[in-house]
Amino acid sequence: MAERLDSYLPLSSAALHILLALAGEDLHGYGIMQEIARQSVGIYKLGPGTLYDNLQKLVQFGWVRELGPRRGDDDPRRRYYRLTDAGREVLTAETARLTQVVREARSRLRGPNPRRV
Amino acid sequence: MLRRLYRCVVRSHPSGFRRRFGEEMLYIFDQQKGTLSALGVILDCVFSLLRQWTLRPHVGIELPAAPLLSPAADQIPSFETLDPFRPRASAIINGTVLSLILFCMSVFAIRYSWIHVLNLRIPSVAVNPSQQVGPQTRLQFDVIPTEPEGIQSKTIASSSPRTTAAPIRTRGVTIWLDPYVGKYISNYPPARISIQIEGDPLRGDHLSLSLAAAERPSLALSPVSPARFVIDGAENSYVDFTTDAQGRICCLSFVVNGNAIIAQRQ
Repeated sequence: MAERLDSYLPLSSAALHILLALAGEDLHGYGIMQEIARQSVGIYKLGPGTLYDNLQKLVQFGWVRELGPRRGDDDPRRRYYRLTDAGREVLTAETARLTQVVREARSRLRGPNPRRV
Repeated sequence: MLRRLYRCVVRSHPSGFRRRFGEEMLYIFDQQKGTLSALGVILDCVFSLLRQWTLRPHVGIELPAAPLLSPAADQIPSFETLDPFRPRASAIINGTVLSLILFCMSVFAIRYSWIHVLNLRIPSVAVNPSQQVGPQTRLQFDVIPTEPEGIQSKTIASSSPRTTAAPIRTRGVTIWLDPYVGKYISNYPPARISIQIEGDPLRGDHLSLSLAAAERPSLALSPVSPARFVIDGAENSYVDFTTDAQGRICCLSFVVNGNAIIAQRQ
């Protein structure tokens, strides 16, 4: 299972942020965009084309499930999306990979300065 | 205006993607505040359009969508495509390669024909000095590639050519025709031009020009100056002769209606 997941890693920035946004709660497309902007403190902004292009991919992989519109919602055009268990596993694997990258980067940056030739 | 543009871009997406996400994408556009952010969303949608048609192999596949609770809020029906057909990637590649091959062959054929066939139109040519030729008469000459060695060029002359002649006077200048006589070869377009002296009972000795392998009468030349001879009965057509350092004729320029053939003396 782990080997199968590794073949999908590393995730693209858009896919990672979408999975991360859906990790907390079910969101509609515009909600995902807002959540991503909030998580990245406005640095990473996703357009609707990029969002739905990636959502389409994630739904096909089975990492995100489409729930459809919610009853009583303000706008019936809004469809909600939920992170599946497979999606959560992928996100966990990607987070572990990034953690390793961050740990390696920190250890390199703390080390002695490179010799000047 | 911007919303219409955005809607057009959204509708240009593959049908499966459009049905599934089109209304939501419009909803997101409606949430944008300001022209700049709307333009950013449109630009992103254009990139998405390119990605969907070029990079996504599952473009034509319909994904199972969750049911809608109600139709589109603006009550405007979406475009429907008649067929969600999308050609296979291998078919697109094959078609591209085939198109490139056809294009290259066409370019080669055009280039080949341009080199080997050059139609020169001479406005009017007096075939026989005694015969009246109307100004509207046209005689077409085809410059034909030079023949392989050993094949004699055919020249139709009104009288037997000679290599010596008496001098002629024009505009106070005496011109000896003998130095002009000879064969001239053009490499581009390939052509062989003969200059010879012909005697005529009415007008006396004069130069004539003939093209190798052309089934046409030779063209009579009249001197304007030692360096330029005009073609009798033809407008805007003349032959310029160039001399080398020793004063010998080394090449000619055969000009017909602005089209020039430069030929070196053999």
